Order: sequence, then structure tokens, then C-alpha cells
Amino acid sequence: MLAANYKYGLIWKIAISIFSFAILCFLLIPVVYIIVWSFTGGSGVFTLTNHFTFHWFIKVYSDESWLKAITTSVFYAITSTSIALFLTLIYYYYSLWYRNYYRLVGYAMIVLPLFFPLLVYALSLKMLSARFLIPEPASIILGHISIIIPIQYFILEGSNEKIIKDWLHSSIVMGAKHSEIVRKVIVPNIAISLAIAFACGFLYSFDEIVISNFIIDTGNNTVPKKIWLDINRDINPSSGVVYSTLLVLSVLTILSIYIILKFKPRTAMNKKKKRRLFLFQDIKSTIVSGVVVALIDVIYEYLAYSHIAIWKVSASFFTGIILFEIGIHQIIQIYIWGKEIIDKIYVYRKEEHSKYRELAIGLLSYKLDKSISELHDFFHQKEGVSVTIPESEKLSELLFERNRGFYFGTDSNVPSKFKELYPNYLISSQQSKSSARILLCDKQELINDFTNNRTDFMEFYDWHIRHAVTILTVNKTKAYSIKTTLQLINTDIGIWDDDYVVIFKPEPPDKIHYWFKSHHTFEETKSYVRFFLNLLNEAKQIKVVNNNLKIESFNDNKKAEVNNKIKSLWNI
Amino acid sequence: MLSVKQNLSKSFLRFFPILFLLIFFVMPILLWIFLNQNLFSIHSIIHPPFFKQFWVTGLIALITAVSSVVLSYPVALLWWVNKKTKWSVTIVFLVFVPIILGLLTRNYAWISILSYTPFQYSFEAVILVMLYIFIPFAFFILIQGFGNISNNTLEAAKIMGANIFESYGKVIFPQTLRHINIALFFVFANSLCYYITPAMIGGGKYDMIGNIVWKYVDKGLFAEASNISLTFIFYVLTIFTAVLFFIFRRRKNNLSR
Repeated sequence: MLAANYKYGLIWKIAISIFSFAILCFLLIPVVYIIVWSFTGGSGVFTLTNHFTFHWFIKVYSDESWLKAITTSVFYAITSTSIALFLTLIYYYYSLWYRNYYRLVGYAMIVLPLFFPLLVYALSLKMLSARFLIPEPASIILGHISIIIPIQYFILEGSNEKIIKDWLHSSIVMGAKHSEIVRKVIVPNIAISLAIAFACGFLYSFDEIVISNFIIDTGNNTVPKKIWLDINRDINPSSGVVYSTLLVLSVLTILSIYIILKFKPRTAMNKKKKRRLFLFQDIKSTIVSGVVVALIDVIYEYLAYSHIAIWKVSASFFTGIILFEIGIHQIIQIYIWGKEIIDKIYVYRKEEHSKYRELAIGLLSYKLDKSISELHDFFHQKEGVSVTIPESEKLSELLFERNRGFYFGTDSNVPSKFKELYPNYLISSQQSKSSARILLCDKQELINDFTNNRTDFMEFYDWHIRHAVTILTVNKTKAYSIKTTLQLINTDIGIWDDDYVVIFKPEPPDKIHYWFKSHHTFEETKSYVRFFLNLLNEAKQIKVVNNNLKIESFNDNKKAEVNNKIKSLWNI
Repeated sequence: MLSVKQNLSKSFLRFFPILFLLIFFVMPILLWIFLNQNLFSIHSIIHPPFFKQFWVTGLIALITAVSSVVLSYPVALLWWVNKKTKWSVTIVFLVFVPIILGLLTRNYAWISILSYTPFQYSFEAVILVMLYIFIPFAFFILIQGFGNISNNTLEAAKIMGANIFESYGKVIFPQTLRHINIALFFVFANSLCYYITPAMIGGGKYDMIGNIVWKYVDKGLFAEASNISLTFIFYVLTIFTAVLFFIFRRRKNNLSR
């Protein structure tokens, strides 16, 4: 059986590989054609000649109209991408904090441009800019920002797993401002995603044609608009030249980033040493100064005159360098001095931070805005505390999200009932460490649920298989007798996060309040764990094989593994 | 010391992105609809102008959406299978390269390549190039879905006795269904308004609604362009609302079962 599966698997893999290879070839043929066309193409027709030539490159890069179009496109692309990335980063950061209406409304607004017909948006933007006399460059930049934000957001969202929420909580508690958290926690951790988002935004804006086509009337064409207008005049490899250059630049950038990342010094100290060895601080600052002044000049020139002259930009660059030499140097030195002091303070705070990190995590993880003394009282109430449904949801969610420890719990609901009660759980929770869940249900209850609610049962089952959570069942009467012995009046029991037992119980009849109890002391927890182990030893594993429900003996090795894990956690 | 909630409540900056999109994306559209509401009539809904182009637009968009998802799915699957190897980066890079080359240049290349075949300026050529444009987008949406699936899932399915086809059909495929729907919807919505590619590749024979609107705008006839767009957007939003309603209804039914 296994050999047959393997054989099919190999054939399946080969078939997919061949098909994918064909698709990739289909995607790459025009790319190759464009590059070849740029070097060997003839004028007026789509023919390739036998001569390799740089003729079209020289023609494009000495043609005033092409240079103007390239400059305009680059200006729009850089401006709109930078603003869009800034706005996207703001929303990305705050969406990590807010989960309800802010996230919902923001998500709806962000998704909308992706699915709304761009043509209609371009038309409405055109009419709006004509009616309110919005300058052409501003209209294009606003339009580009609106359509770039969704793309950049989805790229950043892909790096969510790199941000651990405890860091954010800890930073806030230690007194960091939001801007500091973004600069020192968020940006360094998602730097690659930010770079990708910027690159994608740049390429999208550079190549955007619909909005540009509708808005541009003054003759300040972008590259795509120029190509579009040239369709009926002359077809030659000029456009191929521009995009081949862009392709080469993109590949070089990717390679540079790869090389930098590969040879990046491991420690901050080494990094500092290398920088001093290979790049003098003054040269770097001088160039930065020149670029900043040139950039300010470009923006001013464009907004004021809708035109950029290359010589003016160059002049601004050199002006910036001279300004730096005569005065800004001193200011930059003061800035560097100030930055060093801030860095030192940050390092000190970081040390302080790590010292109290464990404490902070312990307190903050519960996401309850209470003072330390209140929390102390909170955990020491023998009778438990009533918490609201959102709070209990947060607690439950958090204990899973933290993912530091293991989860071994029981649940008295059959799978379909569980899915009905906690629909979000199976969607959002990410349990990646090997765990076990014991269902306190009769065998017949499970069989009935499997027969009558197959889809829900399988969804529940698949989730557990996917997240390496073993599903077990035990004798219901015995389980409930243990609960009676422990004086646990609630329905579910569970062990989370190595040292706490958290219990939820709906309070009939309104189900508005849940019950929360912590077996705070070590001995209390330990005694509870012993009962739990007894329960585990008699458990049977639930499996679905060939569409049949099987309740069979719990695999001895697995049982030993779980047992050892629990025992080692509590030193039993 | 401020609590987390108090600290957050002071940060008004968080509303900037939403306000930006509200003012510069939603408002222009609403204003445009408001200013042109007199152009919108029941008559234009029942007897839409350029009915043939409506039909061609819908057909091209539908074929493009379905085909691009079907064709990009195996590539995304191959990416997932090789997720932990260098091949995954190579696949992503190779799919990304055509996007760098620009829409119009790619169209040029296809006009040239198709000139050696009997398909030049044909309906098939339009579909082919539309697929070429949207396959990378569908691929990138699908790999988001595949990225959430652990490679151990396949192993688990095998251990449970499923053969390779059952593993893919019953374990992997259902988990990517949501992203398949997103990719379908995204490609369909975006290809509905494409007018550059049909104009260049179809040689003017297979105009979509976008081409008609653009022709009117080019001539300065904004009222006519708005009239067609309003009718078009009415149909598009009706279809989208129906699709969304269907999806939510189905989801709700699944949950309540």
C-alpha cells in the first residue's frame, strides 16, 4: 500500500513539475523575446535582425521625450509608493492592536480598491480633479496611492508571524512610544517584507496605465502613457529597452540584497566595525545631504512647474554637498551625537526590559488593564472571578497564541457542538506544538455526531490532525467523578501554558458570564495534574480511517510521550 | 503610567490610512455617481448600450478568471511541495519576472510572437494574453493559501491511509478553496475593466466595455462615458453582491449545521 502510494506520489509530482515547467516557459517566452528584441530589433516592424546593437539603448537614453517620461514615471512611482508604504505601515501596526471595528472597517477599505473596477475609479478621479481643479500630478499620485495600499498591505500581512505580540505589550509597558515601537520592533522584523512591498508598489505605479491614461492631458506623459500614444505612430524596441533596463536593475537590486543579507555581520559590534572599515562616515553623510536637497528640489519643481530638468536635479545634488561642507556637517554631527546618546539609553532600557520581561509577559499576557496589585488579587481569589465573554475569549486565544507551552485539555462537547460554540477557534488558533485534547463524550455520542454531522466533525478532526493535537476519549462517568473529587463544578477542565489551569463555565441561563479560576499554587496544580494523568492513561484515540470512525487504544509510544511531557513539566 | 488601552486611544494617527482611502477612493466614486445620477435610467438597465460589448466583457473576464486559476494552481502546488528548498524562491522569481516587464511591452511581445501564428488579432489571442497577465496574480494569491498549510498535513494524511490523490483532493484542496475563490474574484473583477490588452491584441475587433468608455473619454464625451460606466457598475455590483451573499449564506449554513 505504502509502495503504491509512493509510486503514485512520484508520478503525481512529475506530472505537476512538467505542467508547471510548461506554464513557466509560457510566462518567460515574451520576457526573452523583449530582451532579444531590445538588442536586435528593427524599426517599424516586429522583426529581429542578425545584428547585435546598442542602437536602441543609445536612442532612448538620448531622446528628451523618453528621458522626461522615465523621470516622470520614476517621480510618481517613488512618491506614491513611499506615501502608500507609510500609510500601510500605520494601518498594519494598529491592526495588530485593534481587532474589532477598526480592523474590520480598515480591511474593507483596503480590500475595496482591489476588487473595484479600476476604470470606473479612474473616470471618477478624472471628473473630480477637473471639477475641483486638482493638479494633474497630485491626482495621479493620489490614485496610485489608493491602488498600491492594498497590494502593500497584503505583502506586509504575510509577515505577521514574525511579530510576536508580547514584544509590543512589553514595549508599551516599558514606556516606549508607538513611533519607537514601529522603528525599533516592527520595521527591523519585517524589513524584507517592507522592501518587497516598496518594490512591488514601485513597479505597479511605474507600469500603471489606466489612471495615467485618463488623467494626463498636459503632455507630461509617463512611460506607459507614452508607449500607448506611440502605438499608432511607430512600433520599435524603445519600450523594450526601458523595461529591459528596469528588469536588469531589479535583478541587480535583488542580488545586492541577497549578497548583503548573506554576508551581513552577525552582531551589532561587527556591523559597526565593518561600516567604519568600508565606508567613511563623512562621504556617506555628504551623499545623503546631496540626495536630500536634490529630492526637495525635484518635488518643488514638479509641483510648481510640472516639469523636471535633469541638470537642475544634478545642480541641487551638488548644492546639497556644498551646503553640507559649509554648515550642515555641524548639525549632522550634533544629530549623530544625540543619536548615540539615545542608542545608549535604548540599550540600557533593553537590558532593563529583558530583566523584567518575564514578569511583564506574565502580567501583560492577560491583556487586562489592571494594576499589579489588582492582578495579584485577581489570581488569588479562591472562588474564581467572573469575566466577560470578550475577556474569556481573549484569555483563551492568548493562551494558544503564545504557543510557549503545551495544551492538554478536556472538552465535554462533541465535535460539531464545539465548532458551533467556538467557530472562530478553528479558524484563528494556531497550535503548533504536539498536544492532546480529551473529549468527555460517550462512544455512542461520538458515533452519532460522526454520522449526523460529518462535515463539522471532519473540520474539527482535520484541524486537530493539522496541528498535531491528538484527540482522545475517556469514560465519561469516570471523568465526571474526578471532577467531583476535585470539586470542579464546571464543564471543562484544561492545562495551559505549563503552570495554570484555566476553567470556563457558562453561567445559566443568560450565558453572559464565564467562570475563571487559577490553581495558582504549585501544589494545587500538581495534584490536579495527577488526576489528569490518570484520565489520560485510560484514554482511547479517535481516528477516521477510510471514512470510518475508529476509537482504538491510544498508541503506547504516543501515550508515553505525552505522559513524559506532562511529568517533566510538573516534575512528577 | 498609561495602560495599553489608554495609550492606544491617544493615537489618532491610526485613522489616517482609513481616512485617506475614504476621501480619495470612496468619495470620488460617490461624488461621481451623485453628479451623474440623472444619466442613470431604468431604460439603460433594461436595454444597456453596447449590449454586445457587455457580453464579450463578461465572457472574456469569466474565461480568464477560471483558466488563470486552473493553470496557476499546479505551479502554486509545486511551490508548496518545494517550500523549504531554494526551488520555491526560483519559482516565485520566475513568475514575478514578467510583471517587471510592464503590461504594454508584454503586449508588444505577444503581438510579435502571435504574428507567426494564425491567431493574430483573434479572440483566442485576447484570452491567451489576458491569461498571461493574470496567471502571476492568481499564483501569488494561491501561494498565500498554500503558505498556511503545514507540510506535515500530507504526511498525516498518508499515515491515516489516504493515497496521494485523496490527500490532495480531500486535505490540501479544501484548505486552499478560500484562496481559489479570492483569486477567481480578483481576476474576474480586474479583467472586467481591461481595455489595453483587448485593444492591442484583439486589433479592435473584440472591444470590451473599457474600450468603449476610453474611446468616449478620449473624445471628451464624459457624459456618455459615465452613462455606460454607471450601467456597467450597476451590473457588476449586482453580480458581486449576489456572489458575496451566496458565499456568506453558504458559510452561515455550514456553521449552523
